[in-house]
Amino acid sequence: MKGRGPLLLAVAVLLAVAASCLGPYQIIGQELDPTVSLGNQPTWIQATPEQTTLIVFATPDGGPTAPFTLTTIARNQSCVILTGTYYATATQVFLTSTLRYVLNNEYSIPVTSRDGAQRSNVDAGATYTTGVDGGILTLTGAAGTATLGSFSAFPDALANLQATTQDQADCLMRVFQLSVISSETRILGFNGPAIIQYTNPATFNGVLSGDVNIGVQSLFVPNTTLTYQGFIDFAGFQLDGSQFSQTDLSGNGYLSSAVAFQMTRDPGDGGPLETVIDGQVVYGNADGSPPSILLNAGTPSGGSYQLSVDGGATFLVGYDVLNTIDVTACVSTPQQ
Amino acid sequence: MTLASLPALADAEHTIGPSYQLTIINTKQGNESVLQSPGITYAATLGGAWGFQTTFTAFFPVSAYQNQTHVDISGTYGSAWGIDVIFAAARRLCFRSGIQLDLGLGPHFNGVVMKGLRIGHSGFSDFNSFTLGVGMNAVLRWRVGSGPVSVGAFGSGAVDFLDLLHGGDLSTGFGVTTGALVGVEL
Repeated sequence: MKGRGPLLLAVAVLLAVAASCLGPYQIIGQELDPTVSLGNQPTWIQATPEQTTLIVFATPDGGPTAPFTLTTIARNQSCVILTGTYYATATQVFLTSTLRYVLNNEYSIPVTSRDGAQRSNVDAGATYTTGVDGGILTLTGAAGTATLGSFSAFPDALANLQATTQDQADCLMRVFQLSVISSETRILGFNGPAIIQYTNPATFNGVLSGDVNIGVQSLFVPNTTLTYQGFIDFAGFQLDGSQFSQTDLSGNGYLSSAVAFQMTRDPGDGGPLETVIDGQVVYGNADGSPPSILLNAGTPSGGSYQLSVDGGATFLVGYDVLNTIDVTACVSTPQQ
Repeated sequence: MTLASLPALADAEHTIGPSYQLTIINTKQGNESVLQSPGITYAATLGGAWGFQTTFTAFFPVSAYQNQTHVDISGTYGSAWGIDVIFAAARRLCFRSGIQLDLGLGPHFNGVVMKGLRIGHSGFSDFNSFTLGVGMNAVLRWRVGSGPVSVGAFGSGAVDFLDLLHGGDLSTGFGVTTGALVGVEL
């Protein structure tokens, strides 16, 4: 009997390896993060109950083309980001996408069967007829391209963001989550088993500025830390702080730590940026005690986010509020 | 006199030597990864005319092509290594005294681990695989003089159809290993 221990251990490890899955193959030589932060650039938003679409059009820097990102976050949290370059005429804009990021909602399937965040090279063009009227940007599809519709400037759309009631707090939490989902979509393998590659931590740039660092404790202790530093994907909405997930190999555990947020906007009179709203989201307590967000198979399944607004109240936002990403209640944008 | 009727070199032969490993992985997403590696191979044949054979190769990728684009391993991965193993039912064929050909057919395993470098604040993603399939071995040995020492060469080929790490994304995998051997008879 004495000699069976190592044998059983070896069999257990083999079975564990055999049962595991890292999603699709990685690409040899794939750079983790090709993003070059663009600095403060115009961001546009369109929110409907079904999806939220955000576009960053960087200002051309002396050349005819400039970078863009087109982020679409579906009601069920699935996210697609297209990045590339565009050039514009007085009436049209031509987008050429070169990278496509996808993070599907895979909460209903086991962690080991998920793909996680993926990135692929694309070569896709799209042409839109443009118009700006009353601060509303309209992108009408041309040459066979589907129409994107009308967009508001992101700072204007969020100008009235507040949290004095539970409903407002819930909506603010969803707005906060737009930046979080956008960041996670660009972390290769995020929300899938390929995340174990971050036992060797890596940092990913924000679209506009700052970065997010991801680190996993070890292969067999997949506790994961996301750390935001001056992270901005959409003009004026900044994240700082960390989110810590403590889980077993099946993704069962809880979230803790906190991420601060700040929404600022240019007053338009040359003065300093003014703060629209700031505060923090606490994911949970270090020991996982209530109201920490509980994870079941890598999926939030209990507890509450603690959302506090500086100079205001603190709200408990149920974990299931983020199951539906619909920000139309607090973001003033066209509905199409 | 048949080829197999000549006496085998010995009941158990253990050999080791340098080798070249080619690993090709085709995915259902349409990607092709090709790794070329130097390695060191241990090859053993046990039993009589019919027996058991294994080749165990530890290899270290030095060159890679992803969809026909060359990737510099040393500038992309902090560590890169792999193993390639075939466990085979073997048949010994002796052409003349002192020269033996072992042919084997059996399950094949190939594992690759490449840890992406972290350069500056970011770096490169990891690459790994653990494919299973069927492989064939051919080991040619020649006894040096009358002593227990033999030298030889081997080649093996394998087709893989399952990857334990990447589920259903493997389309087909191929492995080719070849090298020289020196060893002893026990």
